[in-house]
Amino acid sequence: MTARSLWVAAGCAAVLAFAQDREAPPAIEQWGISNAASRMPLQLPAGGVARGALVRIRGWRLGPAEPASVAVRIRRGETRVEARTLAVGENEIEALVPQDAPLGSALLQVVRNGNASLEWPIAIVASSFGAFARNGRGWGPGEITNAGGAPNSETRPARPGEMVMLAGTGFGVRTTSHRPQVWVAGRLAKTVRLTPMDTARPGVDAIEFALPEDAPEGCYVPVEVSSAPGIYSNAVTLAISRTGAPCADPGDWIGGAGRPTVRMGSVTLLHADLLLGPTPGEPVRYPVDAGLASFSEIQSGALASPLFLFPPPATCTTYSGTVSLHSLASPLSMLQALPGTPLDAGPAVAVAGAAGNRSLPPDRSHRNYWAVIGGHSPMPGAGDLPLFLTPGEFQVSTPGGPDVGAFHAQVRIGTPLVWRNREQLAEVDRTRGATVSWRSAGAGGPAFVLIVAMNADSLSGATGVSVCRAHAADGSFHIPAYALANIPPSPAHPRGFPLNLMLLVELPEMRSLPAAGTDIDRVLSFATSISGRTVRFK
Amino acid sequence: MLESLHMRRARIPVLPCALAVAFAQPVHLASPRDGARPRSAYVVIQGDTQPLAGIEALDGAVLAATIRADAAGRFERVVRLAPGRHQLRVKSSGGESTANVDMGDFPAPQSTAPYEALQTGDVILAHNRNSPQDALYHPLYTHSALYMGSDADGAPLLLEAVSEDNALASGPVAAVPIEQSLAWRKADRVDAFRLASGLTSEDRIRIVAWARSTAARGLPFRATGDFGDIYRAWLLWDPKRDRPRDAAEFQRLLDELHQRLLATDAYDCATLVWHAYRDNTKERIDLASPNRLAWGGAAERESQRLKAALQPLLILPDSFALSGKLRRVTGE
Repeated sequence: MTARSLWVAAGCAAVLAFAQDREAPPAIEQWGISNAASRMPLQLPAGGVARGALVRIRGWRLGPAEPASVAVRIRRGETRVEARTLAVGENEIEALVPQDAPLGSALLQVVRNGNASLEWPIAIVASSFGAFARNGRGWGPGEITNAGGAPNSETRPARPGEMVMLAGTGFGVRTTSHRPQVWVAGRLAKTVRLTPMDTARPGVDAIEFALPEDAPEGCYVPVEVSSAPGIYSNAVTLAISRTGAPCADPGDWIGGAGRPTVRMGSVTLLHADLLLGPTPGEPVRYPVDAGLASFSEIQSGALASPLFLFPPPATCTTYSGTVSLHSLASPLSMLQALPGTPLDAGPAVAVAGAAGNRSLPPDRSHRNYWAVIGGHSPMPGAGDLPLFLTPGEFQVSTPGGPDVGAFHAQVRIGTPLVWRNREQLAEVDRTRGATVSWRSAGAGGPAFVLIVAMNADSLSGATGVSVCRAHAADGSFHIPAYALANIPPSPAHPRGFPLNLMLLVELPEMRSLPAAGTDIDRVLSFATSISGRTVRFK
Repeated sequence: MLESLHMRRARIPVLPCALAVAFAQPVHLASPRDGARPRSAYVVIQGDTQPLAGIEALDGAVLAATIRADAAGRFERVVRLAPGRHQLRVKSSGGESTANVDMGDFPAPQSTAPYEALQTGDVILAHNRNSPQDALYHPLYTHSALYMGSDADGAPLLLEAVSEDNALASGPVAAVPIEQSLAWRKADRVDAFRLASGLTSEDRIRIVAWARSTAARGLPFRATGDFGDIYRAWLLWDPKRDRPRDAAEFQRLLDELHQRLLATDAYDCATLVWHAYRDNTKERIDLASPNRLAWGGAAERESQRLKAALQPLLILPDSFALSGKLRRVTGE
């Protein structure tokens, strides 16, 4: 065959291919299959989808289409079933796992217009309840109605002892072998009833329970449901008030109630002392000072970071999700507390203290100003700098930029928190919980300590996080086993980013103040210290 | 009569193809098809004629391009057309072929890029100043893609792998029109590169066939953990002793990274292009060999021994730009 005839044949093959040009098949997002309510990744202990549950499938080219024209197929070995599709969008499908789906590891595939996606693994379980959250993301205020039928909210809290109803999915085929348990801020609810299925919302389960009499007050009191032994749902929150009056919001750090938008500045000076071990042995100490500033125009009702929906004192809440490259791109992205439209406050933010001046340049999207300003950072090429954030007063300022005028804030650094049993806590048995002890600044210092435990599955990025709030003066706290239940275990040879961490974080006063002498409405400025280490979770 | 024959040929492209094999028509326009509505402001004029023949491509009465067919008689050219209806004609000494296309309204490119010089199999390298890679090692380029010819309507397609955060409707590993590519959407600089030693017809056909089938697989982006393992290797390195803290664990990590580099069930932008060439030329064309990756930025200060250990496992857009295997297409 000559080169010419080869090309002619190839051209013809291409044209024939064009003539038959089939649309590309649907593609399921990497680990994009989850309980529709909890959004719990498959790799986490409660990440299985139950028979009869609503399952959410994320991807591309899934629709739009009539649900009947899209098939969701589940197979385990030779056993094949089809999930009933309820809603199909371009990037998302909601389907109902059949009651006779085969239990165990299975494969799920989406077929649209005869084109089949790759199969992705799922785990079919008898029961794994997920609670619906009002934001649809599996965390924050839950889909909970008070006894009178009104949705529970910060302005309509429930009272201790009141019967409330939580919506979710994944109880599975109901048997009497295990009665579901509901935990409210770590207290077991005594009266628990499953209400009849709502035929208007197939796959949705409702559970009624009485709030424990000793349930703590708060705007974000965590609720978790155990629908099978050792399986705990995602945590959603509800508001509880003994008087029925609107709850006092410890997370109202914006403080802009009643205004459509608030122009807000945020300054954080952070000292972290981290003990990181890429392997279980030989952890390396990284003392780091960092500064972060951000400016934003925030719409009323904007969602805060989940990290700022603190549970009541002496209680724990949990989060789960998937860490992406994007979220790891900035090491301080977790502290990006300000939602809304970022404001450009000029070329840099200056930090001045007893040891001199440091500059916080803008990040590449001008959303934050941040820099490591002292210490030994666990980032390539960072080098060693003298520590900068020693106790004392610091002035944070910028001459201003296109969106923000001259700005100044004062931040006081105290004695950093010391985690006393950090060296001993290299390993945590999730079934037993863990006790941490610390020494904090004492009178005049932070009132609370946040205890964060987390781990991520190395390849998928599936992450479980437990956040407990303790009184700083208590000096110790026991993290209960249920709060660690959805943290993935550490493998023998850990891989990926070392996100198997326990962190003790000082929780300073988080209320924003009116800003004087600037065109920013309110300023939230604080210093905090973190003591942390990598931990092997077993 | 001749005009109507060619019009019919363009409308029903399959039959003339069969005839083309048998009778070797003087000039045949395979792309765009008549009546096409490309998903791009660019359209691929592609076909075949006598080897080395000179071809004029006309947009109505205006000369849009002059093209020289290659030794196999194949010709291709990407042209950018204004919105509206266009009659495209290709003429050679042996005759002409025509297709009508309806061009939509698309925004102008954000960066100067030689899209109109693209030939099937070319490699696109792009730089995005907002990429996290920029601070890490100051690369020349932060993204790569493969030009794989046109779709049924003549829109030029780039095969690329993007993270799920950046994926549009086509998904993370997909063939997309130029305007939907990450290079177009995010880059501040885009360059086209071509195999310096020349791409044979056979290799080009295999690479394009692989690209089309890979785009149709609906594959995921290479996982976050793969990048995390590179970070973990850095953590495992003891900078004071300039050696791994745990040699066995370090080697195990490198071995796993190597295995995943060879895997074909997920790609990042560079491994996709690397596999396209390597796997379809029986490993004759390794665009990343020698891997002359340059380390600027934060990585500049890191251990030379660590970088030497990681270098063979890091297939990045700069690996292609610096290997000497590609030459930059200037667009002239």
